[in-house]
Amino acid sequence: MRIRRIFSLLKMQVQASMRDRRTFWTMVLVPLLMMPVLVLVMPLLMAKIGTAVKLDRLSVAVEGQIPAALSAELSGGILPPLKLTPVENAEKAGDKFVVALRVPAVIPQAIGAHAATLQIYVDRADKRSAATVLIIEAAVARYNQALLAAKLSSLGISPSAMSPLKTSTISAKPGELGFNLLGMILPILLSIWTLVGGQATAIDTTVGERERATLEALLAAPISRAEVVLGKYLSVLVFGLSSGLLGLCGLGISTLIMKFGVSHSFGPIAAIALSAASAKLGLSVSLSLASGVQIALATLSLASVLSALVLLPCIYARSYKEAQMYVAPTAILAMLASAPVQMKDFFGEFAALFWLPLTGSIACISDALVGNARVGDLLAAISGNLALTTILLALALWTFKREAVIFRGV
Amino acid sequence: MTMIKIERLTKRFKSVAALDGVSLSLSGGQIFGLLGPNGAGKTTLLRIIATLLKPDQGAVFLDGLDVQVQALAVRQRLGLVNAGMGVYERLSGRENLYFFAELYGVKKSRADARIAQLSAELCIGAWIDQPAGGYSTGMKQKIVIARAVLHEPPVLILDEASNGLDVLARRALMDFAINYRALGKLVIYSTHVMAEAQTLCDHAAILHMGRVIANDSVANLRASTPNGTLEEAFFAITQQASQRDFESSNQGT
Repeated sequence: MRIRRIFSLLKMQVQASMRDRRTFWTMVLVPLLMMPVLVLVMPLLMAKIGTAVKLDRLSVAVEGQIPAALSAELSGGILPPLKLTPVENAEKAGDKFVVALRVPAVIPQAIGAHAATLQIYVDRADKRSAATVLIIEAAVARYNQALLAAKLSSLGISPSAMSPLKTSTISAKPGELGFNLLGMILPILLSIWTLVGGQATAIDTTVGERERATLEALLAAPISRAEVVLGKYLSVLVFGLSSGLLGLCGLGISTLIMKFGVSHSFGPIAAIALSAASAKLGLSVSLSLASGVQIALATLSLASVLSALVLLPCIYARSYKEAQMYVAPTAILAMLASAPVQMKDFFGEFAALFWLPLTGSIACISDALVGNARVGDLLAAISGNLALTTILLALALWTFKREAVIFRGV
Repeated sequence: MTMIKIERLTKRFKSVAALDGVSLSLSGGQIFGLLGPNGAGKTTLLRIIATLLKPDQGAVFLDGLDVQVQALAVRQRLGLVNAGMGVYERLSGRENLYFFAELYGVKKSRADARIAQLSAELCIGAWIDQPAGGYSTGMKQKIVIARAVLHEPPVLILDEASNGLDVLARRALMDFAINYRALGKLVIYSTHVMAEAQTLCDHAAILHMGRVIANDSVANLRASTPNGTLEEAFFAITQQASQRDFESSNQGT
């Protein structure tokens, strides 16, 4: 194995791929821009939608007289306020109201009085209507609780007796960030970026050689088949890994923008609102150096398998179309590999999970994102990935040595 | 001196015998014509010499090296140009040549000198630094030729290399082959265009159905027919071979 020739092939492939605009787009821009969109734009949009809904109160038509206590709950209690408008007939209130209420002639205003029913006319196809029903039901529940509390007080019993037992949650692992949507989706995104980043190069370096008719010249040069496969594999790895790491850079940039950019441009209130919205969506980011190193190593290991996985079918394929057809299922495979990670909490501690190729590194990335990085798990994941990479590269070399494959259609 | 020795070479693709006991001996300082109709086995034979295919039986020695055992050393001693061979289109012509110079172990200073020399010989200097994606077929073929001889191999294989080239590019290719022979090298010129072979080749072997049916100097082959053209000789020899094949198959049944 002569390193210089492998390096020459790698250098040429990187040089050629970097001049391809499509490679640049898929490898650099998509992962770099995707993360800021996910971490910044989505929460901002959610926050903006929330504000818009609050400013434009949901309109409710009311037929009949609502008691003052219930009216207060509906239009300005602790629940999102509703805009109540009196109408003659709730059933024919019209489209400008999201919900219409028919209030009975007599409403109970104390416990022990007769029961009554508040009729709510809804548009089941309208999500605002469904949301308004929830607000009304919550307001009615609070109204009933208030009546019960008044009754208990009149009997000399404290209203707190209504809830003799309460619950309180405390984090058992103070280092962990808790549920984090990003911890679930980032490993999948990393897998996909790595695949997409390496895919274009894998196809270009294999069937591209065949279609450009440069393969025969390369094979006639004094470089062994193993060196050619390794050179091509490394070029796929370089692009796949770069793509994955650029995705992580996008995450880092998003963190910085969230910390400083939003506050500077839109003021501290916007920064707090964005942070709250991100936390609500499970997109909050807080990476320590150790977690960052673990994610980078796990990504390198993940990229090594995915690069071999994507290179193997491309070596076999005889055309771009055929290669794309073979490569597409690898994205599904990468997503399937992440499934055990999403379910691992339900199966308890399952050490063998980290030895599984792809799955182990995804689990490591997922753990690192919630501040639960462990060196032993990372080593297991790297070992599993290394074993599969070796097998895949051996298969790629065997395929590349077959005359029937190399000279298919030549 | 014998540069290439081919001994009882056999190669089958499933049930088809591409080569059937081919034996030849090729010495340096000549243009050796490998002639035959399409499907005669010319490209298969050249690919075995170039270490791209493995024979089922027989052996090939290039400069005393067994092509199956010492493949890398053999590749170092030959250059291959075939029809429609491409270049890396996102690299310039010069970058293409540098890449192959590295693979052939040619040092940077030597590569620069060779590229300058070949630029003059093949008239590629004006556009060698432009991206190869914009080259015409003839321009690409010139880069392919330069790439094949950058390391000054003792054997140059031109496998139907003039296919698809215009008159000027074809003439440049033929001139280059003549000049390369003048350096004492062996040029194997495979073609089914007899006029080209007649102009260029010193010696020729005719392949038919994977077998060598003639192996002589071009002058002797031409002299074997009344009008003295290689095309006429080729036609007569292949007709006789087809007739023999027909008769032997009839005897078999």
